[in-house]
Amino acid sequence: MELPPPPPPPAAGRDWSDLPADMVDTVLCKLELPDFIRTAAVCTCWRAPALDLRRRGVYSFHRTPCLLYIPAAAAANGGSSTRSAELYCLADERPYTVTLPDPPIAERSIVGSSHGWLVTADALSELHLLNPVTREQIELPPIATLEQVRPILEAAGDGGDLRGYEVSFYDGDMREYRAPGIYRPDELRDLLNIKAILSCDPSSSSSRRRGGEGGEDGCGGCIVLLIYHVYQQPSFARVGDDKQWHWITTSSYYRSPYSDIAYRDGAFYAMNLLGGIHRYDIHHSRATRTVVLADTLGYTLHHAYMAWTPSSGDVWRLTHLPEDEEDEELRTVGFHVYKVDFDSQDVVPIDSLGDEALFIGHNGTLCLSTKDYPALLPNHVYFTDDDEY
Amino acid sequence: MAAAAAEATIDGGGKMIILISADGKRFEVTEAVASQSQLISNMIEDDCTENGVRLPNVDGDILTMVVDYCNMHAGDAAADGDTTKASSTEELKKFDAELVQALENPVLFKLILAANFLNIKSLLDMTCQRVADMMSGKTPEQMRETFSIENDFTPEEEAAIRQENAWAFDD
Repeated sequence: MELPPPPPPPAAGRDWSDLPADMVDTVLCKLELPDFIRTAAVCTCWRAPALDLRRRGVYSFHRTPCLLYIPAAAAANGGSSTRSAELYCLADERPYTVTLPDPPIAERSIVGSSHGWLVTADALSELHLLNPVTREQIELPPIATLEQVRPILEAAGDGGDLRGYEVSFYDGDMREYRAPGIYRPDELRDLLNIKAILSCDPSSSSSRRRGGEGGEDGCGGCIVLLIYHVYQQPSFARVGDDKQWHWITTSSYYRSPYSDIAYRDGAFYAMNLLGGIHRYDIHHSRATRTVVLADTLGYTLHHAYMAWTPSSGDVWRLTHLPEDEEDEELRTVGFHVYKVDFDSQDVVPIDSLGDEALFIGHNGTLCLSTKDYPALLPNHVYFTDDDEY
Repeated sequence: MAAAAAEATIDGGGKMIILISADGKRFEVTEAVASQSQLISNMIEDDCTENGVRLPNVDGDILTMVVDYCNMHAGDAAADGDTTKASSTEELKKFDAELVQALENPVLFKLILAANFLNIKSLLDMTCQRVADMMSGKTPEQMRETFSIENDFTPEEEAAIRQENAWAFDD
């Protein structure tokens, strides 16, 4: 039988710029970032699908992570006015120098990274999202709208210059365990540098489908979750929509200093320093908490991370193994890894990561299978010593 | 229908069907082999393969490769644990690697179109991966040369594109 409707037969003399767009998409999705960008500069027929993929937010899928840092030499030469950073591409094992928009990257501190975006704090401690590849920037709500932060103005009224911030140290029980502190505008960000993560790529079309507060269902859109040094409590904001941060009240601070946060299957997860994992479902300006793993420890960890393994779906808890066990604030020489068993509500130590590779630091903790990312080393942890002390 | 398909797989592919290329070449394959093509699998379900399946946009030499590929990979789709028919993973890897390595550019192009048209995902993935590998590490000029593509940007457009992500063009 004949197949209706037959596409035109490939005529002689056709060339690769005639490759149909959906097949160009398939090729583009297999390219590492630098190759992707260069391919988009070959001809108009390849550029259009590349730009479309970027618009749809498929841009950052399945690419080997790049590491971003400011080289010591650049920082020394340009000081805090340095606008360039290095993007080390693990796939082709070489650094690329990227020039980033103002304010200069060297005068910002990096609070987090996920979905190809950085969360940075500028010299006035205001937070921005910055995409180092597209150089897009998105302002996050004013830091003075964080629950425990109050701006101190030079003169009365809104017209006065900002002198600093007053931070009150209370938790969900409204108990203060230390006196409020006064911080200069550039000092406040030292309280923000634990971690911030995004629920999705804010430039993808799926993150823009709603209007107002995350659409009718109160979900959707891109949400940023921040944990900060007021007892490591969380606050969240809808990127581009919210004018203020929403504080997620947690009960007694002793039970809830969070160390790592993640987003998965429509909800945020937070691991506390007693090894417990809590899920937060966000609707409009409210978050509801579910304890998915009760605290497993009778003592407080110094720093902990959680990772979802792509192959088995297992959850791992990781802690730094310091150079000297007596002094946890020293250089990291390894990691303790435990697998979470939700059924028995306990953890069991494991001694190998198998085929997985882990990325740990201010970034959203990432666990990738080296089967999908052959440029990565199996059973390895790529980490930055992100402890501020 | 699912039950019938499973039966056919177990007894070695069951019914045979005829594929007919654009230039009239005929290929007799089992339904199990042919149904790796989602297009043909749907036609089998709809019972419209009786008089052979004409593929008016796939040349005989390309269809030969597609049939070879499907014969080799029929084991993939077969029931788990049936190791007698399934080619070993190493064999398959070697076969696939040799297949794509040996392809001249125009043939690779046609094979991608055929894999897309016949909707054979694994073959489409593999051939597109080959294109991606050929692009890897190349400058736009080198890519144009490799794939005989004309630069249809104006000099101004090209300068703007390079400027936008200057870091990726620094060599």
